[in-house]
Amino acid sequence: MADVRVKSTELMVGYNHATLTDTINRAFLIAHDSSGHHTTADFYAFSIHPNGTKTTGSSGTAGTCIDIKFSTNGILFNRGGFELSSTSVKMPSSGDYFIIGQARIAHNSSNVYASLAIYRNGSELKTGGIDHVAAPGTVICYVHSLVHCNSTTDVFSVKFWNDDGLATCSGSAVDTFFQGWKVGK
Amino acid sequence: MADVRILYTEEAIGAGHPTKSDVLNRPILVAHDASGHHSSVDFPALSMDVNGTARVLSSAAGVIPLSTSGGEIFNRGYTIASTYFKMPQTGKYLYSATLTFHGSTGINEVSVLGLYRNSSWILEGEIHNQFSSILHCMEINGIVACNSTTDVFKPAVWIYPTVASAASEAIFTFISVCRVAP
Repeated sequence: MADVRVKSTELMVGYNHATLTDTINRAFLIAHDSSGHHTTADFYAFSIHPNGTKTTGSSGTAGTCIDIKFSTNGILFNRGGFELSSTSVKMPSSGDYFIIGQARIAHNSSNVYASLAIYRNGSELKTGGIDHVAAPGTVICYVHSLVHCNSTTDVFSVKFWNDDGLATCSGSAVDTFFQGWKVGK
Repeated sequence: MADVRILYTEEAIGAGHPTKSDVLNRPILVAHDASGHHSSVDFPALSMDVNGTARVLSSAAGVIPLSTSGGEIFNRGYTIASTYFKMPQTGKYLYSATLTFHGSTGINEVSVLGLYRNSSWILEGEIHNQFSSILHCMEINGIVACNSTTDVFKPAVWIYPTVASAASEAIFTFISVCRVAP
C-alpha cells in the first residue's frame, strides 16, 4: 500500500485550502472519517445465510464434509468488499479474522455425528459443534475461531459432516449462517 | 503511555528529513502503518492449539495445558507459558475456546469449560452429555477484561466424573483471543 505520510519536503496544508491539497490530514483520513472516528476501512465484516435453500447431504459423499450452500441473496451485510459466493468467501485483505459458522443439521439416522468445520483452500482448519445424534433429529452446530488470511486469493468455506450421506442443513437465516470480521493484521 | 502529541515548541518535520526526526506523523504512526491503515498494535490476536498432544482430563478440576513449543498458529505479542497466557496490554478481549473430548465420556455427565483470571473463575460454559459418545465438543465465547498485563489467564476444564482426553488435533482443540476495546 502507498506511503501516505507527510513528507519533510511537502507544504503543510490543512483541510479546505482554496487551491492546495490537504497534506496534514491525509494519513489520518485513510481509516478515519472527518469527525475523527474509525471508518470500516480496517474493520471489515460480513454475514451471509442460505436464504431458504437447504443443503442436502445426498448431494455429497457419506463420511465426508460438504459445503453449506449460502446465497448471495442472503447477504445481510458486506463491509469492506468480501467476495461472497454460494460456497466460499474471500477476504478483502490479508490479516487475522474471527469466523463464526453455525448450522442446524437434521439427521434421519441413529448413532451418527454432527459437526461443522472452517476450511481454507480445501484444508480443514477448525472443527466445532461435534455432537452425537442418538436418534433421528436436529442439532445446531457451531464453530468459532480466529483464522489467518494469507492472501486475498485464499478461499474460506464452512462445511458440515455428512456422516450417513443423508444429513440436511437448514436454509433458515436464523439458525444457519456464516459471519466474520477482521481483527488485525 | 507516553504523550506523543505534537508540541507547539516543536518543528513541523515530515517523514524522510535527512537529519531530523519525523514529528508530523508521530501520533498516527503509533497504531497505524505508513499507508495510514491500522497496525495490530491495538488489536493483538492469539490463535493456539495443543500442538498434537492429547491431554488427559481427570475428574478433578484441571487447567488445560498449553504448549510453549509450537501450537501457536499466530501470536501478536501475548506471553505464553505451559498453563497460562498473558495479554500484551490491558483492555477488553474476546475469548473463544473449543475443546473436543477424544474417548468415551459417560452418559448423563456434565462437563464444564471455562477461564480463570488469576484466581477468579470468570467465564463458564457447560454441556450435559446424554449419550455415550466417542467425540464431543465444548465451546465457550465471551468478552473478558484484562486489568493488568500481569493478569494470568488459564483455560480450564472439569469432567464429571469419567476420565477423558482432550483431542490432540489442532482442528479439534484450540483457543482464540483478540483485543476488541481499550
